[in-house]
Amino acid sequence: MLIIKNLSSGYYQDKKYHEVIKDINLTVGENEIIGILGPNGSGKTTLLRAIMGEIYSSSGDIIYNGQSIFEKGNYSEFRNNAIYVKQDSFNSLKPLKSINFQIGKLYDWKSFDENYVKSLFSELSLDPAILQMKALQLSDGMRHRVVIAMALLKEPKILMLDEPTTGLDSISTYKLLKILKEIKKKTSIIISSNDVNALFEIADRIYIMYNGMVIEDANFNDLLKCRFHPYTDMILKYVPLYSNKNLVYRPVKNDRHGGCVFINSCPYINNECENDIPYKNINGHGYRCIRYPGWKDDKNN
Amino acid sequence: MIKIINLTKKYKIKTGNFRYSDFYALDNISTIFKENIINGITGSSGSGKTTLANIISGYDRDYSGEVLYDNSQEKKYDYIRYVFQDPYISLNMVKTVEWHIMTASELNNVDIESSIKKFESTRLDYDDYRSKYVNTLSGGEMQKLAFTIAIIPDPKYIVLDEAFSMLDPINLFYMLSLLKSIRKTISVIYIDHDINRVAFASDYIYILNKGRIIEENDTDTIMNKPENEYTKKLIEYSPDYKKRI
Repeated sequence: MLIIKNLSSGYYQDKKYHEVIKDINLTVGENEIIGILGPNGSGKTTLLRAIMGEIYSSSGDIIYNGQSIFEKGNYSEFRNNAIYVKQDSFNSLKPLKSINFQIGKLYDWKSFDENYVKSLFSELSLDPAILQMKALQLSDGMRHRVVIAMALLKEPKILMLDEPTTGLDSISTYKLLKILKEIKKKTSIIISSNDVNALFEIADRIYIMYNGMVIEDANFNDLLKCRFHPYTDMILKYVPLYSNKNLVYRPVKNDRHGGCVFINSCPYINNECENDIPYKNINGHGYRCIRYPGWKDDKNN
Repeated sequence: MIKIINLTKKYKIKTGNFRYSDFYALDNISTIFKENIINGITGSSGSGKTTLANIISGYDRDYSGEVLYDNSQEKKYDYIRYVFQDPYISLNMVKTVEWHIMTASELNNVDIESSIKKFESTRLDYDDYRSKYVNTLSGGEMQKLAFTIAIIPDPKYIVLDEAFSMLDPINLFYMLSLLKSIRKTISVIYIDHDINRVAFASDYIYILNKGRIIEENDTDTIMNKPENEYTKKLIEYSPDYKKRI
């Protein structure tokens, strides 16, 4: 449905171009939840903005239903079918206007089917009474759900959510994820997050990013069984959960340059790692590590 | 040892013209925070976690009830330090990292060498960071700097109110392990909304709901044999990557 080929993108600062994400390949199928996982500053938000066409892409292509979105006629059709929900839901709402007003604005002040809006709100377990409330009076979790409801009113084919679970407590997170699972029947969803737990609970396919590159991508089941990149292995091992209470983490600090993006924190490096590393693929499980499967053996070092 | 007796905090909410009703953010709490362990406080949003942290750290004095520090009402200087969720209000954006470390050690009469050692224990290299301005740091690095400044005077207690919310998973794991290694000299009160994360870090857990402590016990007892229905719900809904919705 949506195919991203060799996309590179970045920002202009002082009239100079800084590349942030390099060589991204990503495929989104129908009714699929795609998760993008990575630490802060790894380029998750930049990738989502580049997919929306909000920022300049220096190379690569985005193909939606067989047509490139960078050609003139296709872009507006793509924008009508894809919706991007920003990290801070306050950015998308006017604080002092009622929710009713903001939904009216979505429909360009024409009359709309109020019963449909109310049924959608109750589907997301929102009380229809909050239509009369101001955005300022809602709690964080409610505001997230209102923004997602407003996005769904446009009936998008692709919904992109940037860190939807930050700032929500565990019960609201559970409810939101449950709702996303329901929405999946109508649209495809792309979620970016740095929370391993929330993402692995719902995503079907997970892309792991580090320093602007995709370093591993696989089905969530394959990823839970076997990891091909040391960074993925680390983030799934050192999760702050009660069951890992007695685990000890020994940080590694190397002083190397070039080559692999993870070279300075990897416990398994050797001289091969300073070369450029190609992206390989085994049975739909892609990875960018030159030492696989060699590093699995020297685990005891 | 911090002891609180019948602590109540109420806000007035406007319900109409000249009509107000009371909202109890904390409702008659009595408990003890022990020394040399990590005390974890958890609950959903709006349960009064931050209000409790503000009161025990002496930041908010408008309450009824008593807070006793080592059985006296007077709080000694350097007894307790507080790290906010938002690092922007505890740091000066237009000064360097070096300025923050120097000022904090001068004000507290601490040797600068030992302050630098504390900064480096958070896995940041001092030589790389000393001349950087704070507004060029990322959120996680700012939170680490705010944490360093709080432990420089070697306080007896440190209160962390979601102080690691901007860190990525591996750094979070490392910082929580660091808390465990310093708890013998600095006792910790750690506040978070995810019960699994609190259980990972702490030795003793308090669970708040609607301004009351509904359950408090050792971590192992709470996670394996919870008594309250609400605690069971929190544990069930807490995100875990091995579960699938």
